[in-house]
Amino acid sequence: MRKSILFILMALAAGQSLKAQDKLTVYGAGRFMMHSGGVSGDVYDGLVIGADTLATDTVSARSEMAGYALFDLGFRFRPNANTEIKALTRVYSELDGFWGQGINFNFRELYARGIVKGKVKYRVGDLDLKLSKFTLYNSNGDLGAHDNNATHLFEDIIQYENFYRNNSWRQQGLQTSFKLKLPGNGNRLDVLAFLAKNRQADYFFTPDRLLAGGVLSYEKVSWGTLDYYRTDLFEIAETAPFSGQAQRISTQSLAATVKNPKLGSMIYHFETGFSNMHFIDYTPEPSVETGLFFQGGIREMSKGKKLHYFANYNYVESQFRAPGAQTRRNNFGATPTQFSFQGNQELVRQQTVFDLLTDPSAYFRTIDPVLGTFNPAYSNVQPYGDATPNRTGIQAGFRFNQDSTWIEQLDAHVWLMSEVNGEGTDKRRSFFRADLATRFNFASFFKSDRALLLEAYIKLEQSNRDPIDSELSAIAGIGEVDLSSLFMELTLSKEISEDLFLHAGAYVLRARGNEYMSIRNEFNQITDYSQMDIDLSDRTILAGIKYSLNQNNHLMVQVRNSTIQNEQIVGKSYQINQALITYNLFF
Amino acid sequence: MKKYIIIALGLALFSSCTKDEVEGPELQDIFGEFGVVTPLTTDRSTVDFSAGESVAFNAELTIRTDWTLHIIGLSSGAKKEIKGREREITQEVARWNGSITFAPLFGEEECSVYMTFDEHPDTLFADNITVAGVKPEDSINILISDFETGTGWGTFAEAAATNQNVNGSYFIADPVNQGEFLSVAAPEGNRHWRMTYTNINSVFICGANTLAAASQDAEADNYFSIGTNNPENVYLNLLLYGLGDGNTRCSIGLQEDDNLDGEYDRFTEGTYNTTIEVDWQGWKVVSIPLSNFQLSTVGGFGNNDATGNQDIDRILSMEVLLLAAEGTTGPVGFGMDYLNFTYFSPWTP
Repeated sequence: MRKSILFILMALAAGQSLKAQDKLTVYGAGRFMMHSGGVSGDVYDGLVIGADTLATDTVSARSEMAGYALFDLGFRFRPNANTEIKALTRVYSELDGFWGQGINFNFRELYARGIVKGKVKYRVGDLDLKLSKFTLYNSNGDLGAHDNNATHLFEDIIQYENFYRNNSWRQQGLQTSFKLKLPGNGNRLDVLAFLAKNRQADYFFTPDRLLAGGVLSYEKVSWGTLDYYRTDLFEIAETAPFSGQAQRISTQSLAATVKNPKLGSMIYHFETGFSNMHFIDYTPEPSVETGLFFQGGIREMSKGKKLHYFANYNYVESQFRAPGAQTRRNNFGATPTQFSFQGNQELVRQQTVFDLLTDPSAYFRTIDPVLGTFNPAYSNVQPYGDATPNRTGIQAGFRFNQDSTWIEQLDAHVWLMSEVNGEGTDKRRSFFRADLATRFNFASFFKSDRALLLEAYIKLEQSNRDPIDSELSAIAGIGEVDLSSLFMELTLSKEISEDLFLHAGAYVLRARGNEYMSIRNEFNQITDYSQMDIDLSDRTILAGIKYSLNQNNHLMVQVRNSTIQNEQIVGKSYQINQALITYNLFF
Repeated sequence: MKKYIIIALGLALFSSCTKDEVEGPELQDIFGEFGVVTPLTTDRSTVDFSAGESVAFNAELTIRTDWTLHIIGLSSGAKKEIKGREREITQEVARWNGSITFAPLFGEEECSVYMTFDEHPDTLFADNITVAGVKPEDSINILISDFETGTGWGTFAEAAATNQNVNGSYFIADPVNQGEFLSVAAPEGNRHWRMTYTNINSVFICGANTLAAASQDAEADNYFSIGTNNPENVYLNLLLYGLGDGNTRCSIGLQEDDNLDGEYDRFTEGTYNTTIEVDWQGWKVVSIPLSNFQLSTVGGFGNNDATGNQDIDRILSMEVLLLAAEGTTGPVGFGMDYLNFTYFSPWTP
């Protein structure tokens, strides 16, 4: 530990001395997180149900105290007016890493960027890539953004740890962009292109995988923009000499955004495109698959109004593939960091809502060409974002901003979707989803200057499919789906002083019903189904205090109780009681 | 108002864009009623594996379900199991090249063939097959130990278990058939390693370990000379003898020298484990890709990995443990032999 403190002090001193030259600035983050708590319940204590006995868990620890401290120190170096180099180092120590044994040093971020001749921008190293929602886009997680006083700090940490900046994907490579002025006052063409390494070869069977893409954007003043997007995720077969196999997925789209004052305050948006998936040297060779999509919509976004609304129509074929837009954030296969295993067989504990709220390792960091598995109890309508294959339907919603002295925000969003193709049957699923997010400030009710915030986010999903029609009793009833889920987060926070908030919250996920989950092969083809009977109740109640030294510097102390009842796990129910201390600083 | 009507009509038009095509296999082919459409058959009655021949099996069911094809050597007692989950069982998924699942090896003999199903009580029988020539020996990449030299393995124990290199055979009480005894002999060579115990008083019973440098294919440095760092492409294979008790667990740990100092520190360097539920009787070929090994969860025993990654090119030593399921009262144990690594595919003797 002494070594790391010395390193930090030296680095800060170096940063301060160089800062004086105005060529070097420092940035980074510091964090200390500690949790202490225990688990209990039938999963651990054992139980008898009829003739079956679940033995007491004698392997898993009943209580756990762990945590870590980290310090990210970045240097932003400007050797000249047109060049910038950023490098971010990390010192990380587990709480039990005594005498320096558990301390890791590594580079977390490294890139250089600049402008050539004042016209062409470039960036090499770490890239943050985003195009359209159907080509390259890091969609939000299954349970929304958790933008409330009690868990916003955790959400910031998750986004920071996984480089989810502004819905972009972190990749490594090079990127360039420039603008061309076109005839007409203000008309222009923007060009952006990138090439990134998505996966490293193992020099035997797994080839290098690259991601290339870009956008051509034509903007006509007073009319809008016309964009051409393209991404290619492709493998270099020669880098795996024992295989020779390679896969290529190309996604292209054309998008138009019309915002002509003559057409009023409405903005019209259209995007359509297709994908191609090729396979080289596979035996048997899968067929080349092409999939189409279309999105059309309107939105009203005039600046002076408090009410904004929008409506979209989506159509995405089953075969449409856009790895950059369809890779999920939530990784339900990840082992939870806290209380990782259960039972004498050391089964990996299934993730809970609280894990998703607080654990950065429960998220994917990179783009994958295979559609990831998802849990329909958490998200079933669009588990892969707007680009979810095999979905068609409409979305509509509105947003109120500061409609009155006490409604600070009121968002509503409704989805009415169905499948384009049936899965395993000619009957297609229908989906309904409704989201409601609000933030009320009752300070004025109590004639107080101190905020009293009630923040709520409610997500309701319903999925249905009719059973197969058949006169045969052995077949009738097969395929029926009836699944409903409700996720609700409700927090109440009271401003005690300008920098001190007390908060309490409840997070509830309730899902009940059944589903037939598709099992896909490496070519994304459905090869099998697993039947799921879902009866899940996941409730967390928490309370805490947050002290903010400034907007980027918070100390939060929280206690929570989580009660899980899940028919899909052995033992079915357990509880976690925990206290958490989190200090986080971004600078 | 007119433009909203046009937009609504447009949305209504598009919302009718659906397809009649069905994606994926039919649900009724998986969740319907079980039945046999075509009985189990073989494409030949005599096979010469030494000449590169193989046997294909065919059958058709009404639904897709988990099945196991059993081939039993009527003279040797050798067993081969092929598992699958197809409705149409063809040569693509059910082909036998003469390899075994349970030792001993097949001889030139007659073999019976039948198929069972995990979720249905039915059994399908095919005509017997005559083996006219046996399969050539399958190659391996790194031999860890065949126990013939009797060196290189250390032992440690919680209880006074039998934990030793055995020369020849021994008798042990058969936990499946009370009052009878099993005769256990090495499936390869004359020696194998035995771990057995009868008076269970803890989950952990005993263990044995060896350094990579002491393995039979050891090279100059301290580590197994695995030519890739991709754990998906390397298999640990061994012959594992089960008593049939159902309570035995065999845990195998690969201990990494993360800082390359030539020593394994269990507090700061990672051990990657896998546990095998030994629920069979006899010598079985077990193959596990190294990607199935997970970082230890036991504090102070390899649960901290200094590099944060599984580094299969830094495996300094291997540890094998005899464990018992919680609440076990009867005997537990296993034998092991011919531990080896193969690249890209499992060992198929």
